[in-house]
Amino acid sequence: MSRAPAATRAPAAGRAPSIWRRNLATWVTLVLLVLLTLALAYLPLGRLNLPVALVIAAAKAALVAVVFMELRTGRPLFRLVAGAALFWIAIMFVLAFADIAMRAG
Amino acid sequence: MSEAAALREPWRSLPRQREAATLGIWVFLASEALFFSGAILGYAFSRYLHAHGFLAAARETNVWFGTVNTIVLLTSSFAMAMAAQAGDARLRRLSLVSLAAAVMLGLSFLILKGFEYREDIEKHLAPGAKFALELQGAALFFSFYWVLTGVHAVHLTVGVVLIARLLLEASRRELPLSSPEIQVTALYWHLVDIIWIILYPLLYLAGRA
Repeated sequence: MSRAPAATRAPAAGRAPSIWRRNLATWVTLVLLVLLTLALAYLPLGRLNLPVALVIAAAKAALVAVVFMELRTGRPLFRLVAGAALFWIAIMFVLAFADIAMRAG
Repeated sequence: MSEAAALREPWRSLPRQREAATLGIWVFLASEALFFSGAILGYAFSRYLHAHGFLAAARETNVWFGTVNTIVLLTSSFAMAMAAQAGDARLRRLSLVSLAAAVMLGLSFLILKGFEYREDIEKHLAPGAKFALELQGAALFFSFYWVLTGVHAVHLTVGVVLIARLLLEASRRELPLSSPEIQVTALYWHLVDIIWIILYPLLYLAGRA
């Protein structure tokens, strides 16, 4: 066996207080961001309403991915896969909108 | 229940097995993200072409159902993260209670969504002969609304069934808390949450200002 048996492995996520602290803080932040984006949606910001809403959504998604999905503490390989998904999505959006931008008239 | 019961062929150790399972689910989640992105790209393109109709139509969705459901789903993700991490730390009671909370919150989301769908149908917001809005692009917005929330609800239903199964087996001690199945299901559940996080501003917050 190249690795220690699972039973003797130290628990990766720590004890109850640290689990509560980390996840509860993330949850509170997420709920505050929901309330913030809801309030900002009713402010007339003109063209800025959409980017503001999308930035807040991206922040929420990143919090879920980094803390709840343990991307921060997980293997670099998992971050690579998540990054690859974002990269391919970016290609799809950039090429599609490049088409709009380059249309005549 | 011994730890060894979670170990499956061909892995020699539980950490190895867990790493492989987690990598596998991440690849699956990447494909799911691309699948939803295709539909969201369709939304973005159509919204660009029919900005006026899209914003007018988005104002007709019920922002309260949308907001409450967003908070419900974020809370269920919190519960699921607690379940997985408590399972890791062998905190049996915390893990089981969190799994139960995640199931209840997932069901609450679906029930609220059902009431919202009923209201949408009563307001003739389903594209078709009796569709309520005239503006060009409005019917297109609601096509995306029904498809995106519908496909999301299917994913959520699958997640609720998977978590309920984990809860049942773990509470009977048929499934060790260290099983990668809990971690992998949690990752799937969080992705379904992330998709809703993206849909919320697109479907509910657009056109409110």
